[in-house]
Amino acid sequence: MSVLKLRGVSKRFGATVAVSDATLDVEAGSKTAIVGPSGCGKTTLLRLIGGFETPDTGTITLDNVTLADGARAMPAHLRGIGYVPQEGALFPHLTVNDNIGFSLAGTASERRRRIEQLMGLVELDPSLGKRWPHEVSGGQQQRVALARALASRPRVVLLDEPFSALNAQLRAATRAAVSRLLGAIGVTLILVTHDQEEALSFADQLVVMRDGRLVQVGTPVDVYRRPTDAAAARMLGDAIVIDAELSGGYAISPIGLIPTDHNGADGPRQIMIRPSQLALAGRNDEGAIALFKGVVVGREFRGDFYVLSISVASEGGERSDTSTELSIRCSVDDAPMIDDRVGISMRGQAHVLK
Amino acid sequence: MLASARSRPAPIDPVWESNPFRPVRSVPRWIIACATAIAALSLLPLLFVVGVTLGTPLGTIAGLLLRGRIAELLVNTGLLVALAVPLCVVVGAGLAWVTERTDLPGRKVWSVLAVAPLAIPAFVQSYAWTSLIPGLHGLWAAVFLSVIAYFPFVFLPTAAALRRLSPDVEEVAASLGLPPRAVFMRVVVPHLAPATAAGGLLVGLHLLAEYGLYAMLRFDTFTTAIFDQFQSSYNGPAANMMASVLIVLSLILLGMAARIGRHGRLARVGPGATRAAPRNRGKWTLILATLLPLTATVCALVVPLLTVFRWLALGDPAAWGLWRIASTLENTVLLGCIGATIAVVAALPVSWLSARMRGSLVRVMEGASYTAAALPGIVVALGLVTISLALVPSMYQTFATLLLAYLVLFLPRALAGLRTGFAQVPPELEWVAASLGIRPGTVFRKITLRLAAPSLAAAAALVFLAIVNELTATLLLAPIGTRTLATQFWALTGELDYAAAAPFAAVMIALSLPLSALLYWQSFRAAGR
Repeated sequence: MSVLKLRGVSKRFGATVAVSDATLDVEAGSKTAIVGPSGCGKTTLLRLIGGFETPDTGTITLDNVTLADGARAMPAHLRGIGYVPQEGALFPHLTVNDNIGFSLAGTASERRRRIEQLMGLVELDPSLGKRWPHEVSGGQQQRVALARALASRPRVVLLDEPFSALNAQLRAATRAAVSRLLGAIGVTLILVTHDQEEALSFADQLVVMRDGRLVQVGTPVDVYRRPTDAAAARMLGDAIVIDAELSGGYAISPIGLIPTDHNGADGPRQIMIRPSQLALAGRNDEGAIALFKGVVVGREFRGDFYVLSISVASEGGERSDTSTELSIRCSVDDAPMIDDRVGISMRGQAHVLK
Repeated sequence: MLASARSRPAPIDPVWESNPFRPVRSVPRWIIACATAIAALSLLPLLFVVGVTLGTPLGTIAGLLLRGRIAELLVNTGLLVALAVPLCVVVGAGLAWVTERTDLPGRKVWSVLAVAPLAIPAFVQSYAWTSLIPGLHGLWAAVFLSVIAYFPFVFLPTAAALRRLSPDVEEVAASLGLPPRAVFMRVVVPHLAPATAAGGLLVGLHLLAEYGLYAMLRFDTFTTAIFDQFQSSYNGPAANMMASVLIVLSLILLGMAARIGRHGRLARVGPGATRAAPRNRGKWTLILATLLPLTATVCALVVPLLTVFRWLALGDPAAWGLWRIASTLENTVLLGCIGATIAVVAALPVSWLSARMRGSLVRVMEGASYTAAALPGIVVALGLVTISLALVPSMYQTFATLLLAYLVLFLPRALAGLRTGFAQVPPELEWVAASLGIRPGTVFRKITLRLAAPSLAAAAALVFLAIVNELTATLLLAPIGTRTLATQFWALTGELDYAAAAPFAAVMIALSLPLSALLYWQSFRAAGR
């Protein structure tokens, strides 16, 4: 069942189009990640759903109740959509307990019980309740912000880059905890991020946004493997994009014949290969499909592995000066040196871009 | 599909099921209406003065303008501004450099002492100096007293800008091969210029508005002439005409200040600046660096304070009439409190809009308030007298008119403070509160207003202290028999009873010291000390 529906939602600020014709379904209890570069309109989209902005055109409905129909909209405080902004935005003049209990009515003891329950839910030590926001760590602030949002029993929770202020280690841990805790109570989550790793690992549904448009919507695996264009491909990770001529499901490229996932019309197209599909030949060849030969031209140490730049000369030799550079990872123990000649094997298929 | 594999969504709170559905504006209309009304109210006195002028027959206008008296006043006022403002800039900026960028011993103390003269009203400065040197009068006396009374207005912004200027920028300039003098001219001076120039123009506006200081020196400016004209004959057209000339002069200075404000704002690039280490500038520089703050402090602080104390000591405590001092203080504090409350409440809609909304409407409203307040108190008072006599004679010389004058004159002080306060409340906090189902009014009260409360209090204090030291408008508009500290002091010095006036000066200075402290703290807090 689809709980939140956006239909043709657009919003502009003066001459700038922030969100353009956005159509999206979010299922109840699912986790949706909206990923895009800064300034792509993803935060505006989130604010339109939360009711902090009203769309110029388009409708937003939640459980078949209209939240916004053009500029006519339900005020934010009546929507029942929770919001966790960047860095938590805890009320600085209230203690942790009072932040969590901000929206709670009832007697003092009822409130206290509910606050304790919420703190347990986000795995916060109840002893922190009397502290001030600046007296708890960044990760704890995020959990307080989450507990505060959950206190009013929202149907949907919006997370606006909630982990960006945390250091790398804490970010992964907090993200995993949030995903687990909220998954358990079945709240619908919408996360905005510019971090591809965060988007891929967090979401059931991934939305790629660029220049105000929703470029692609799908499962993380699908969007990662089969991006619509080169920009979407690079947004989610390293990508090798090559110009090629399609023929019968194969790509005739400067570096050789490459199998693709394409079964449509033939013609000139761009294909995309993830570096993780490539490996040095002769080391782990089982299942390899294509073989290229090349020369190592760059060698960058990254700790756990080397990133090699390998120049693959064009086949046929009619223009020997043209070559394609592929970057692949290889283990530290047996990395070839610069100018070594190596073979490359490839797994899976290249993806044909639109 | 996904939902079926998960537990049911949490139950929904009943408040959302009522589902009221209505057009939403990001800013409620009634707030815009209130803000517009207040901005229009600010401009009312100005419009009336200009209106009366425009309603006067052309022949009368020519007759009133083209005479020796106007030329004399123009020369006096022009010379005063042309001489005193540059001197204020030299003294103020020099003090800022000495206290921020040399290794002068006791820099912090000198820095505080350079701001302290703000606690002494200008007319108390001239009282102190004329009672010390009875023959003091004329242009040069007026220039001298103007400089010592107003140089802190240049010192404060310049010192704050110097403190904000990261030494990295100067070091980079030096690394590009610029000698120290070139670094100063090409890096330091352009950085300070907007702040210093804005301070200088503020001094100019104050000089145009100042009454007490020049009246005591018997030095005629437009403001003193309008006052005399009004007192002697209630002569509408003549006073109005001079007021119109004064308005033009003020608007010229205000226009220059606005240009600086628009083009001269220097953004700080990158994270917080480190403070420059004070540097040894050599023996002769050090001697000069000591002489400047020493002289300024003696002239602007030691002499007036000693004179006030001398008169206090000479006076007979029995003759002071402690009851009279107490009742005047009570009047003043009451007026100050009511005036400050009105100003802060009136500033709420405009300042909230300007912190939360962009657009020309907000700029126009802010501009109206700032323009009105840049006009000399005499013009505002004259406008209100004209209005009350023409429309509601029963309003003339009532507390209501007086409080309205205070509102027009001091609204921008409240506006500036409140806008900063509101701007420091991240809108995310309001959104979060709304997403928790809290009504907008409650969000404003429990989050926005609560977090802006310190700025609110500071703004109210600034308005309060401005009212305590206000002389010109209070003299013209206060109900008969109502005396504030300033007008009582003025009446007594008018009778040459300097000893009886001294306690009132002392009380004003004591009340104003926190004002200086607050200004000092605000300027340098922004500079990130």
